[in-house]
Amino acid sequence: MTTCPDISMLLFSPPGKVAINKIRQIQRTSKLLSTILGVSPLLEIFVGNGALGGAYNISKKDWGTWANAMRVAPNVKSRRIEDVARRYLVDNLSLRGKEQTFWIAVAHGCR
Amino acid sequence: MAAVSKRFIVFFLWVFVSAAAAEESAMLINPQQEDEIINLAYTQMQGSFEALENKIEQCRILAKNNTLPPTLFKSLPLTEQEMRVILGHFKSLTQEKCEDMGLWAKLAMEFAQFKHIEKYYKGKNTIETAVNFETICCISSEGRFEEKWNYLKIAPEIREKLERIPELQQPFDFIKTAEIMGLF
Repeated sequence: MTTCPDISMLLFSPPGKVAINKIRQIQRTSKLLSTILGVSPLLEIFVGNGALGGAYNISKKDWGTWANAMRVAPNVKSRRIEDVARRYLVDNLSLRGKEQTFWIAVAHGCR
Repeated sequence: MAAVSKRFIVFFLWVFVSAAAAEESAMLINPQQEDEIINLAYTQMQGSFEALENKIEQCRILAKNNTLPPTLFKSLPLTEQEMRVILGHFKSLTQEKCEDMGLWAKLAMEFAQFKHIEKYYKGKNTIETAVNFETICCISSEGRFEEKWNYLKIAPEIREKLERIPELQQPFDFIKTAEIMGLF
């Protein structure tokens, strides 16, 4: 499977939102990341302060931008982000479909 | 006799004044010296940060080039969820061994010391750092303990067998392995 997928109309489950908040805590100090992610929906998801509300459309291009952002981020940060994503995948056996695809892409990057 | 006493008193006063002055000069550090001390703590912390950054990168490369065989758990009576738990646990374990948890601990301590020293001299923290303390020490540690806890629920005789599998002793690519095992 590709780890750089197009995902449309993605809605996050409550446990998914908890995992996203952990990633937001890691990203809190990163101004550089905000600059790289630009207008990508991944900026709103992972760096934003607001509640995760509607459905998100994430394109291959957005994942490419995310991969670039992870390349320039300190390894300490990207390692912690991968940990959060991987553990979320392990813990949620019932996770399927778009949300699973989303977390696989976060855990593995778009490499 | 009076002259001896006078000399003794003068000597005593000189010792006292010198000692007091020395103590004062040791305590009074000017702003430039404060900056030098803060810089020393920062440089030390930054050295540990870079050492850990390099180590994480090396381990990431090792893991990326190692996908475990899909039949690894074939002879063991495991559920799909147990296989995920096992892979997650060994992924963390091999990563921690490869990266050296001592490097993480050293960075956490030096980071905390640097922040403390800056605050001690300047009254607040203003120097920006690439990461925050929570990220170094704690974020996702609850997940790591849940992972261990879940692993320990697996029967001891199976865990014993798992811990002797050579493939589970080296960093590996978790996502690719889980995919070829049909766990995602």
